[in-house]
Amino acid sequence: MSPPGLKLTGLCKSFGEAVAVDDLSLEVRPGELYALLGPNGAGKTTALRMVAGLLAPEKGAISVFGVDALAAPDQAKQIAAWVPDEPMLYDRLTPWEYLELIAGLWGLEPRAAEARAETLLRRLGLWDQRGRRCEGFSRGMKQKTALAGALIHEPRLLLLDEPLTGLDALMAREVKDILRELVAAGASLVLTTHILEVAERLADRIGILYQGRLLVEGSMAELRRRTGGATTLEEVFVELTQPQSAPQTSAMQTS
Amino acid sequence: MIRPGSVLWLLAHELRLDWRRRTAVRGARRWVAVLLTLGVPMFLGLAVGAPTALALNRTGPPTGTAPAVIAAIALASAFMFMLSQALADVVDALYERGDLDLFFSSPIPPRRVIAVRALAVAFSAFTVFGFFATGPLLVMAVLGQARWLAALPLLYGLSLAATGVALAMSVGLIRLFGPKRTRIIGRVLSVVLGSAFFLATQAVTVMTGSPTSLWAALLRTGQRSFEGSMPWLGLGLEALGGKPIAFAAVAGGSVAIFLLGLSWSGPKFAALYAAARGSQQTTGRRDQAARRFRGGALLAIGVKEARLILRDPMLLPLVLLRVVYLVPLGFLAVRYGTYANFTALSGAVLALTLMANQLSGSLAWMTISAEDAPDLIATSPTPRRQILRIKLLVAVGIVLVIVALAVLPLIVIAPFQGLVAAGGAASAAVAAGLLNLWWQRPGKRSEFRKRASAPWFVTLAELALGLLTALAAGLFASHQIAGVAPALLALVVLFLLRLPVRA
Repeated sequence: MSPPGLKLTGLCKSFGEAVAVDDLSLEVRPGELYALLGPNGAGKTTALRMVAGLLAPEKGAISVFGVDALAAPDQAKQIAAWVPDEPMLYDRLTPWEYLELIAGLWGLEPRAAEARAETLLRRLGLWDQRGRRCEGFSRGMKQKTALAGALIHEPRLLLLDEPLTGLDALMAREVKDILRELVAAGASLVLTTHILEVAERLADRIGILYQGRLLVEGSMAELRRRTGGATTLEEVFVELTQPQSAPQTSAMQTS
Repeated sequence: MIRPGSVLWLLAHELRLDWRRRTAVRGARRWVAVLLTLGVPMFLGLAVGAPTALALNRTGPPTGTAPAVIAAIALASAFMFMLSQALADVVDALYERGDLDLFFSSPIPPRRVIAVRALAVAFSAFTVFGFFATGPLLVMAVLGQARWLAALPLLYGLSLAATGVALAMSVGLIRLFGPKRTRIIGRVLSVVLGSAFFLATQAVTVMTGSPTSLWAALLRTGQRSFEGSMPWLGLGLEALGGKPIAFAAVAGGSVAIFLLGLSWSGPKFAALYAAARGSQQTTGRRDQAARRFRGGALLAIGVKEARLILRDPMLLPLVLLRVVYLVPLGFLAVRYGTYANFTALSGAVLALTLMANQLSGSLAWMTISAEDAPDLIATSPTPRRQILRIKLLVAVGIVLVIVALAVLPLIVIAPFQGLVAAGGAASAAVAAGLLNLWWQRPGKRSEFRKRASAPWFVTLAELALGLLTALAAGLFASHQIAGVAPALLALVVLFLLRLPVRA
């Protein structure tokens, strides 16, 4: 049996007195898109940053396709990609130069990387802009460049923090198609988003974080069942994350 | 209660931000900063203020031509320095400070916003002078020379005048060169203005061969003018000494210049700000399209760092700032080298080494600490240690290429001194680079001018390393074995400050 694409076990992280992630355990299977939802400050980004190797957890374990990400971070990074909500770009590099840098950092064979770069830039509508510096790009174009950078090494685990921010409707649809293809090819995807409709339509499973803890997880149908009368993800989300209802849902999860 | 949106309210906002920026350091460093902020003025008060006050109590106020001319020259130099600082700040405000977007989109009249920002710029230009002058002036006041306290408002007045001129200059520059080019031209001009006095002294020194000739010439000319057609040169000294009419004339004149500059440029500033911001929002410059990828992480990082440095609009003023101080020394090298007076060349060797140190410190900070996408680098599988090594190599490499432009002619003129300069510059560049590697000071490239937010002892150590290496190179260039001492001391400083680089 193949190992999970991502396995978090008892992950904890605090910043001073504030607990950001509290005993978080979850599994994302290969070929699965997992949406991590939660109100602002719930610990979603902190959790993803720990998986990406940007923050060290105080406790717990992270496994990426069977690789212990804390013991062998470079091996785990080789097969993962992280796309934060603020694109990690260089204003004075062109998209082509940016992809050349990423290909170098991930140790890709130059000719194969070039071909992949061309495919991605064409698909994301950036081919005609490949020689322009990113400094004049709109937010959406920057987001697409960052996404191309994340996809050039064909990661098996893709972590996306608000991936559709700034994209127009057509491009958002294109990106969703690309993500679906990745999942179909066996990659594991974890995304956070505030656009609940995206999570509802795209995700195979949804996890809801609240105050650093995983309140509940499951497919949309399972979430509906657990919350009783809720029909949309928005209703599920509101019911679970309203302060007065949060303790009840915790109890529900443990029962 | 201050009315929201009023000048005072806006001023309080500016001062609060300024205060928070200055006191942003935490922990032990904060106490060191507090100690220095209080200690330096106290020390200067006792070391400079007290003896000056006692001497003035004994002799009475300074009179005659020489003190008047010296005071006038000092005030003029201070004004040039303030103008340089204010121009850089105004250019920053036009191109860097995003908070003007917020103010200009609010219902507060833009004129008021600009007036307050101008007052803050003036305060910033005054800070250095205020910091060093307050201690001695307070001690002098306690010891019976309170009249000299007038120097403080007078200096602030000068910084207001400098700000008024800087505002007008920036508007003029944008009109002349357009919003895109003004960013670079403004910075270059600021560097040239800041070093104008030094350049003038060096130029005269080179022409006449006497290091004191500019002073002598200035004093002579000043004295003649003061005694002849320009008796108002004496106003500076009288104003500093608190004589009411002189003080009113100089301070009033300064404020008038500020108000003139503000009233002329103020109404245009908001529109020019929009133009300057707009010039940043272009479709992006086109560079070579689809060049072949080069393989390997280290090459990729190296190429990226070199591209970013060479495309940085800050690089030109940065290099210029260092090179400007070398030009006169270059003249010296040629002048004395021709006559085989190699001892004189040691000055050029010393300057080259110091420049390499300073430039390397700046570029190493840009490549190592001012990484635009640190998360990207951190999430890549390439070990951090390797990435840092290549960044350091790029920074030092660029410095060596620049220094080579001066060292190669030197090697032709005087091979021994040229080789010492090459060795000294390389050592100084590596030392400054290593220090920046060990003591990283994260920041944005756009904050380059404020990179002094580093621990004070690291800033000091960087300077000390530069001076020690330069001194060693200078001594070696003069065939003096005593150069071993500063070289060894530099090694000790470097050894004491080394830190393991986090893998």
